[in-house]
Amino acid sequence: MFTKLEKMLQILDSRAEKQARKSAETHGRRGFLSKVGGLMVASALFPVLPFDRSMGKAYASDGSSVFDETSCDYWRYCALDGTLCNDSGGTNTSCPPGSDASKVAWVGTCLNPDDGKDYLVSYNDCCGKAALVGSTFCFTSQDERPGYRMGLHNDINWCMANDNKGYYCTVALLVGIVDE
Amino acid sequence: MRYKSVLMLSLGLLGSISTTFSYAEDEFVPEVLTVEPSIAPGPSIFVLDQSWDGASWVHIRSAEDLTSIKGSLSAGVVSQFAMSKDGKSAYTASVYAKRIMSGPTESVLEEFDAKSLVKKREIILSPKMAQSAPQLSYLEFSADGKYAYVQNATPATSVTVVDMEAGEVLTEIPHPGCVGIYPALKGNRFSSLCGDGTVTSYSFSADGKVNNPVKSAKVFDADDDPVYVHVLRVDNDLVLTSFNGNLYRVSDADEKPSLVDKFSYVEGVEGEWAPGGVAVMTYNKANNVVFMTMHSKAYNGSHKNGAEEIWTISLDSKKVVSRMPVDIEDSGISSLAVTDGKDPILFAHDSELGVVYRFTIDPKADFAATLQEDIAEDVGHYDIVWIADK
Repeated sequence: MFTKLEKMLQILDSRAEKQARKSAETHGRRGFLSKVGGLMVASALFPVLPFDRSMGKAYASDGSSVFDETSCDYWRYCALDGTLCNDSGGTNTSCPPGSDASKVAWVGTCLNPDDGKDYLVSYNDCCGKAALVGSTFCFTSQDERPGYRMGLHNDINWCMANDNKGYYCTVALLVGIVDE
Repeated sequence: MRYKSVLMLSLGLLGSISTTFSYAEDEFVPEVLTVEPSIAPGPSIFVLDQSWDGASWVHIRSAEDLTSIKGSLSAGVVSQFAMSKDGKSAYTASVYAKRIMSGPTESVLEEFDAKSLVKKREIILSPKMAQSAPQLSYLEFSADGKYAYVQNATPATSVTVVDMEAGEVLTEIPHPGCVGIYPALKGNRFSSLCGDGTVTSYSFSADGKVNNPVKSAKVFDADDDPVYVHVLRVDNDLVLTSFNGNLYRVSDADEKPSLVDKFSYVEGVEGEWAPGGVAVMTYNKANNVVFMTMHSKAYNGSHKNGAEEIWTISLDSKKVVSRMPVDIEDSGISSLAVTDGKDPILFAHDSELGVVYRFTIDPKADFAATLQEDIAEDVGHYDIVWIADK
């Protein structure tokens, strides 16, 4: 696991952080879809497991919450400490209307049971409004580290580099695949 | 039935007239509005209840019954909290945005009289102040109290040094890749934990000149055995715990910190136990023991899980001397604070239920803990507990 973590950090330094920042600056969703579109094609070419290849956007046949985007058990939320944007007016990859996407983010490495691959997940906060009462609060911390590994730390307001620093909710963008 | 009702009504009217006459005969004394001059006497706990979208609170409760509300402090969003060593002053470091959730922010250190709860002054901090979940090591003071230290993150990390006599920021000390502030027992020096596994010390002079940092040899492995930033002061040493249940003892007596001792308190214990929470441990000096929040079946990412048991670890024997099951439904104890005396009182914050518990500990009975029935309710979920009269 920690070998993967090291790889992930290297990727973060060289490539993924730029992707995450670019995605955030362009409101995420389009950038995400263009990149993940490529991943989906690749997945289609190399079928691995007998699951629906929808990047978790539909339930697996067994109905497990690991494929339920509204559940904190959803696979890409493996290190998400915050409220979900997808029940606050946004989606997994877009901030709710009128909010600001955070300029910086922490990352997690989550296993997608759909294809058995570890994905690099950028957890960006959305900023400038108050979290909604009743929105889903998730509290997972796989591979999370204290602030001395700031890029893996989820106990801090990642709206810190924005002009509007109020914490609203958190999205979970796929920004890379950890090399085997 | 009808006659009975009439009789009752008549008696009631007579009673009302009689009462009216008796009031009229007394001289009316208007009430005078006052402000309580101080909190109620007796030991207190200060409980930081951090808010991310409005005012943060500091609840002041009786440390005895927990239910007596003595007062509160208010601060901005994502506040940290500390008290002076003499217990006379309480401090919050928090953030105020012009439009609460948006607009320019101002980070402020606010000083309160711990008895009257009156604000004495405020000092504007660097806007870089870390907006972090509660951490005792993010707002600290030098040993002589002359300087306050505040953790910054942009996310690059640094420490703001505040000259408390001048009432203004003295300097900013970058500590990239490091976090936490652990003041030395003397001098203008503190240590931090760093991602390369070192404990690094930082010092400065009275004119604000920052000296070169001094790194220890590698103490811990941030990948394989990461440590919490909640650190204890035990005599001349700093005591760290890792997510995996290793206790590290680091001397910061010299400028270059050094590892003094390391032992596992979970080795040989069945059940895959590990610490979990925020302020996961607390130190009782009289018995030289550490109390630790523990959960079983630990896994990658469970390091913030609430306690199933609270363990007592002797720093003399380096053994677990007591295990207290937390038999409270839906509980999630994540932070501890204990008094210093021979018969310790242990306070525990439950981040799931938003309450604080009080346990009396009996060292003569293998540190058996008795949970007090009365608890502090409605004190929030993002908390740390500070015992005002240890």
